[in-house]
Amino acid sequence: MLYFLIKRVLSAIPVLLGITIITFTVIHLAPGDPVQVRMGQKYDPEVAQRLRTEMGLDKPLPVQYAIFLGDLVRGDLGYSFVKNLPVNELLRGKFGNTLYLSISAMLLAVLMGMLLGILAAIRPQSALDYAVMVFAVAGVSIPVFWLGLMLQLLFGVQLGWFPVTGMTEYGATLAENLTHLVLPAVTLATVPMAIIARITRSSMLEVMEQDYIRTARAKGLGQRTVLLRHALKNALIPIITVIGNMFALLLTGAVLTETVFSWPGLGRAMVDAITQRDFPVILGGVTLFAVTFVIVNLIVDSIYAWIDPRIRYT
Amino acid sequence: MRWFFTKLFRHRAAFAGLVIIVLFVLAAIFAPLVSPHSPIEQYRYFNRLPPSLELRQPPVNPDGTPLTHPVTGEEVQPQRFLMGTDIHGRDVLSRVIYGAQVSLLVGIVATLIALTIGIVIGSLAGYFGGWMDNVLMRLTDTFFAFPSILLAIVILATFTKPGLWAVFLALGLTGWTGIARVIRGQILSLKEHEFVEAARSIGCSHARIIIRHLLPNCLAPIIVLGTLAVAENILSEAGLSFLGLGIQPPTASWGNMLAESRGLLKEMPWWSIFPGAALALTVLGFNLFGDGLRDILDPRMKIRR
Repeated sequence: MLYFLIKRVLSAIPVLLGITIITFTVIHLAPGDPVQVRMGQKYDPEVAQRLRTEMGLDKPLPVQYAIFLGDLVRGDLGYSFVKNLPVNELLRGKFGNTLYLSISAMLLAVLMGMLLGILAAIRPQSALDYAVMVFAVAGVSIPVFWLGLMLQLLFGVQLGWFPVTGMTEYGATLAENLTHLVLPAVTLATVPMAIIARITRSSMLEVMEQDYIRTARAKGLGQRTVLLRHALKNALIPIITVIGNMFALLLTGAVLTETVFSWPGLGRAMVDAITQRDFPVILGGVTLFAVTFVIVNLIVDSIYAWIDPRIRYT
Repeated sequence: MRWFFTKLFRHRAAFAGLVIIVLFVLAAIFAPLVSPHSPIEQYRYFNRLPPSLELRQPPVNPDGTPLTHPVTGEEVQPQRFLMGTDIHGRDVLSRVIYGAQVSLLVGIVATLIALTIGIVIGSLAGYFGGWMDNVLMRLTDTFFAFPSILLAIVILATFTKPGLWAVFLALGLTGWTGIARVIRGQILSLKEHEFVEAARSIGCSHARIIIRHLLPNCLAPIIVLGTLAVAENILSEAGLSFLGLGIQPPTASWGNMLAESRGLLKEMPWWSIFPGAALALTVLGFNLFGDGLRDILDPRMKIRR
């Protein structure tokens, strides 16, 4: 098991390097000059030159990249060009907010998605099964940000049940916190929920036809035991694969959801950084996303190996 | 070919999807004919009107005489706005119809770019294997690990003035990973067949074997993934335009309409409801059709998203 984990960690390194190299190259190809953006109207060539040296922009690109990597290894993401803050400090709180939103959404999506999928698989061709299938297609077709807007309109404006935008300040009560979380989390959860419901249903249906399910039934086990202990456990592998792959999708949704709900998260901060040509923040944000993604995949792979011992040895 | 259409007509969901797609494609092609107004004309006396079937009368002067246009001097005519007007007095229905042009164009062109990249990389990796497979698949993993919207945003940022071409490229360069993986898998299993050895023994080049013998056998997954990718690209374009990074106003795109209307959601909900509904319906059409094609062309469900 340990050998398996070490192998997985090592194989993640080229992916991380690749992602930072791609981002680094692309943002430096971009036309806008961060020095010019920062100085605005008061452009003075002499000061600009000094700033450029200070920001490290006068060195050749490979050297700049090497400096970035060196700092990264020490856990330092550099200094924001636009806001007078270290990137670490700037992104820490926002990253936490994004994680809070994403994890809540993911929990909701996994619980509800699997429940819907199992319920549909118990009685194929029933009205419930049909409804779940409709939800599975509709859920991936609805634009995340439009869904957010419509939920705001219905539950925020018309019914007034939940606040329309924002996140509570630090120190708010749990209830306030949760009411702010409900609409963004439901919005963000819809697409993964639909995908999980669908894969759970098809995976369960496939497993239910196996001989060992018939054996379990034949020896008189109750429906609940058969479903949970025999069927679900075996149907889990494809479901977990899908959940793992969903993470990139979730972050994509997070950028849009955060915009709709004015949620102070990493996604929104990244979009702002890109329009302001704030290179260190862009690189730092992308690196954070990528590291998170790699960790999530690692966890998913470990869960596999734990559920299905065959995987450990291949 | 006939069995395909027979099955298509019997598959209710796929057929419904096809009908939706055809309707929107027709609306996009014949937009100048079917839209009641120009998508960018601002009817200054008719702004912020909610949807209504009725003919709207322009306001009158304080003395009761009909209002005239300040520049042309013509009398202001009553107008009909089925989906209401936006804050500038533009017809929402016409903008929704013209928005279909942008969405479908981006959806299709970006998908073609992604398909090309995905097919080339997937077939090279699958056919040659070895180090080439390793390098290309690492590259694919890297792109796959990247939340595609971020990469698309970074690519869009390299354009001073984002427009259609920028969006084509941003989405095409980010959307190929899934296709590359599936094509690689298909080629990997296909190349073990005897017909490949036969082709090689009569002296076919590698390129000819891939293009004439292997890829035609991958047509089913290419069609299915392509259809589903159109849906995804339409969603992404709308998302990017919603963030203000894609198609720029006054060109009507469903995404930028939603970006403009968002601040007035409470006061003018119709301005947000209709473009979003059109977007959701179009994407639904492609998803239903793509899923249906998968059922028809690939009964054993080999192609997973």
